[in-house]
Order: sequence, then C-alpha cells, then structure tokens
Amino acid sequence: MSDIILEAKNIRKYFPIKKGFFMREVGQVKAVEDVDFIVRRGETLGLVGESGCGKSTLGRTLIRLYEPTKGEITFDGKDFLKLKGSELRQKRRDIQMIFQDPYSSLDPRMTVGQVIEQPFIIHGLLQKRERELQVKQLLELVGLKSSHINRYPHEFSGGQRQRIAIARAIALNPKLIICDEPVSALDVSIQAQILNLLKDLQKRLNLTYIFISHDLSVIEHVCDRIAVMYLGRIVELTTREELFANPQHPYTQALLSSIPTIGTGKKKMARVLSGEIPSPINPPSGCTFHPRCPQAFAICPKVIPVLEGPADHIKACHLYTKENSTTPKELL
Amino acid sequence: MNPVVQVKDLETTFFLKSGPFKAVNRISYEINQGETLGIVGESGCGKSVTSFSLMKLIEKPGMVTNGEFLLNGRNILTLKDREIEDVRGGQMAMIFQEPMTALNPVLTIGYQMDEQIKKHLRLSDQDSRDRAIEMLQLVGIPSAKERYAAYPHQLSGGMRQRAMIAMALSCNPKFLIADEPTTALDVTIQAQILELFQSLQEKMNMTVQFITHDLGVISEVSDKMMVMYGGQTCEMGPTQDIINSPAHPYTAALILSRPQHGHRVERLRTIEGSVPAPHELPKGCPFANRCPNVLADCWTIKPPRLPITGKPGRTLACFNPL
Repeated sequence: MSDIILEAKNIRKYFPIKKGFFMREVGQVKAVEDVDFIVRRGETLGLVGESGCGKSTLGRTLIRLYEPTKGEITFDGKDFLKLKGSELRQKRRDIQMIFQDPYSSLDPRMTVGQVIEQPFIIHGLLQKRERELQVKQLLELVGLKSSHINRYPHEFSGGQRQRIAIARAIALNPKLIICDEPVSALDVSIQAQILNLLKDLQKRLNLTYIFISHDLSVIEHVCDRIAVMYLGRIVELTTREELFANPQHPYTQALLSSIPTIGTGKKKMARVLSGEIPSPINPPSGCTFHPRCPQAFAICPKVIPVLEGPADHIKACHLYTKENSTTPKELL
Repeated sequence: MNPVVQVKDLETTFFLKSGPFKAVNRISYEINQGETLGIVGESGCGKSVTSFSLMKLIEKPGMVTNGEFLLNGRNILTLKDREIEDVRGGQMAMIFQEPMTALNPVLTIGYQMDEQIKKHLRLSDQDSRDRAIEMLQLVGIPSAKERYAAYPHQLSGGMRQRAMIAMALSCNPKFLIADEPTTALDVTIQAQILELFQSLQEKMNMTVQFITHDLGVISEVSDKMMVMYGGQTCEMGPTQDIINSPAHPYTAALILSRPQHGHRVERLRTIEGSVPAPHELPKGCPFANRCPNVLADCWTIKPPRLPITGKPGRTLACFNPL
C-alpha cells in the first residue's frame, strides 16, 4: 500500500458566468488554478486562506461534488476522475466530507437515526436491525447518547449537530475526510470539544484529514502540513513547524502577523497589508499577490511564479527563485 | 472626574411565551473618557442585548426592566423617543456586526450619511456632503467621491465596514459601541480595520465599548474587560491582568479552550456541555452546571460580584475562584 492516499495534479476549476436571455458565457470565475499536492496516509493536511481563495471549491472538487475543469486526482491508487457508476460509488465510501454549517447540512425532517443510517441505505449495506445497532454505536463514538436516535436535528445545539454530521461522515469507515471549516460556526468552548473529537477519531479509526479553515490558530492546532492559498493557487506548502517558524511567502508572513494573539497586551495594530483581495474573475497578471505585496519587484506583475524549493517547503514567489536572487531587486 | 459611561443594575427581560427571560441580569460597569471596555462571551450571553439596551433599540417582546445608563451624567434610558433620536447617532453611535443588514440597501452611502450629519450637526447640503466625503477618506476608502454615490451592495465587505465606521464617527460621538465589528471580515482586513479604529479613537478621544467573542481581539484592543455568561458578569478588570491570571473558572476555560498560536497542546481544555437554554439556567450561578469548581451553594445562591483583595480594579462573581 502506497504511503500517498491522494494526489492532485494541475487541478483547475472555473465557473462560467452566464448573462442575458441566451445565457451566453461572458466570463469565468477562476476559483482554483493549477493546484498540485499530495496527502499522506494518516496525516492532516490544512488548506488555509481568506474568503474567496478557493479552499472550499478545492475541497469539493476533490470529492467530485464539482467536476474539475482540468487536472488529475489519484485516490488510493485509482484515477478518481475516470471512475463511473458502481465503481465510483464504491470508492466514494472511502472519502467523506464534513461541512461548515451543521444547521444546513442535516435534513430537518429526518431523525438523527435516519440521518446517520443514510450512508448504509445508499450503499445497500446491512439489514435494518444491524443498521440501528451501528447508528447507536456511532452516536456513542461521537459523544452523544444512543437514546438520541429518534430526535430531530433542531433538538440539538450547534456542537451536537456537528457531532451528528461527524457520525454520518465516519459511518462507512472512510479513509479520507474533508473537513470544510468544521468549527467556524461554533462557539469557542464548543470548538475545542469538536477539535478534540476529530483528533481522537483520527487516532482510533486511522483517518486522513484534509482540513479547510480560515482560522490559523485552529489550523496550527490540528494540521501536520499546511498549504496556504491565495486567489485559487497554493502559494506556500510546508510542515506546521516550518510554516509558523519560518514563513517565506510575503502573503503567509502577512497572514501570520494578522492573527490577534492573547496576552501580548494592548498594542498599536500594525498595518500588515493594504488593499483587498482582488476578484477571481479578473485576477492580476503575473503573481496574483503583487498589487498587495510589500516586497513586489519588476518581474512580479509579468511572470507567474511556480511552486518550488526543497521538497518539505515549497513556495511560489519570485523572491526565492535563483535568477532573481542574484539580480538586484528593483522595487516597483 | 466622572466616568463618561455609567451603567447601573441594567436588566433586560424578554417576555416570551415560555415565560419571562432575563437576557441581561443586573449588570453594572463604568467606562472612563478615552477608555475601551471589551465585553467577551459566547453566543447568548447577553453581550449584544446589553448594547442594544443602551442604544434603546430593544423591541418587543423585550424591554429594559431595571437600571440606568448615564452618559455624561444624563440618564438615557428614561428619554422619550424624540429625545433619544437627538442622542443616537450624535453623542453616541454604534457599529454593527453585519454591515449589509445595518445599511439600507436602496439608499446610497452618501444619502445615509448626509441624513445623519444634517440632523446632528445642522449643516447645509453642501457642507454635509463635504463632511461625509471627508469621513470616507478618513477611514481609508479610495476614490471617496465616487463611493459617496454608491449603494451598499457595490462595496466589498471590508469597504462596507469602513463606510459604517465613517457613518458612526461622522458626528463626533463621545461614546461608541462596536458590536463584533470585525467578525465577518478576513484576518488581513480585520487587522486593517482594527488599526484604523485605534487611530481614530485616539484622535477623537472616544470612549468605546467593544464587543466580541474573540479573546485575541479583546486582548489587543481593550484596556479593561468584562466576561459575561448567561446574562451576568463573571468577572471584570484590566484586560492583561485577567488574561494572565483569570479568577473565574469560566474565564480560565475560555482562554484555555482556544488553540493558541505558539503554544501547541495535544488536547484542548474543554468546557463540558453547552450553554443552557434560557429556562434551564441554574438558579444560582449560571455557570454552575458546567463548572469544574462547583460547590453546593453555587446551585442555589447567586454569587455577588465583589472586589478581589490584592488585585486593584478587579471584581469577581464566584464562590470558589481559581
């Protein structure tokens, strides 16, 4: 069995913008642009970035909720994008998703038992009695009571609902779970409960996570390796220790210094970045970060930087490419 | 010198079908000139209801049922509707969490600003327009003249929040309530807005009440803080002092349950259970059912908020502190 569970190559996802009576295509939202990465068995890979950076679209594309415009996904040794019909359904059991909003991701007309047994029904597994037994075990596993089985989602708090969503995601014993902002909608004290639960389950069930979040403190807590995204591209990818100790891309540096920290005292906030995130419909030329980058120089608006560097710490920035490091940096 | 803001025994009750529910239960505090009070707590703790009560924005079935709010010595809560209109937006203003719902979508930014400026500063059309554009420039909105004529949906989230700050500050308020002003924003935009906010506060010597659920933000912007739970004050005092040595078990749990940058732990401390529903709140301390330090008395007697000996400026409502 290979150490790599998922490999994404040149993933691209564009959404068409249609206008007018004939719904002519007038442009494209370039949500994900040429993204490459691998996920190793048992690890947690973090995808972090601000709103509109494409992290959620990427997550959904990996599970084929969106069909990618271009690219290849190898999941567990199989070409995931070529799979069809029963083969696809079979493989999909191994890859599950937890969504951000536990209020909209659970059907309000289903009891908790029905919600959690859905995966078994869809995949035609187990008899009714066995299913009920499984559901009860799953409820206990995620820290709820098996007596909750006949209650409806509205009877639960946000944190408990997220537990139900987690029970549904682990029902079929998946190998990989994509967690899309699983704690962002929850209060701080409840966030901690869910983060601990996810960690416990990972150990117990040998799970691999792709963890999507905009919250760097949460990402730092749960992830082994982290990919920083900006406007549809990965701009830096490295281990947690490296990223926080030695961030190299100017965007990562800005992101890290924007985190408000507890206990450092009232201070004058420093302006780390000016300007706003550009629109992915018409992204800036060259390095898409150059209009906001404090260190941009002549080449940045012209050439798109590629992800490169030592294998455990790659970044897409002209500051670190060989030719540029020798030429004097002519500031814009 | 008297504090600019004095809140005494404020109580706001919602008369629901299931019975009356005290969303804010007798809280008191003071804020001095130029000072920032941070109010922190989880959803449902009453931090927003407190602010809405001070602005007299509580609507049926809710009602302020007790207490007073003195702004420079004048009781705001007893003012008539006409009188409050002169104060609101003028001497005191508020910034809301979600600018898209706080701004009127069918009026231009400029119209909404003019309306307020004309009323409170009694300026002519031309002067109020100039004032509005000046404010938009002050909060860092590029090409302010064009944005003056824009509708709220034509601005991005960060720009809308800036426009709302410009609007709130346009009549030189003495007292500003900021209710989760950066929660809906991305971190890099949040850093920009907080920086702007601090420099304007300093320039105008404003008194600020800053509400958030984010301890990191509170820690960076406020002088003193108040921790709320179940409509009551758990503890209050100088921000850094509380963060470095919390006395209330709830404050401590809140601090430890947050993953902290640079202090990685294998497991986070959690607060078991969740915030009880309004009618399920314990009779005594509202935190009793989740508290690791709970005593028999906590269930039945409400702990009074008393000064902590040896720690100047700090008060605490707990029978069994850390």
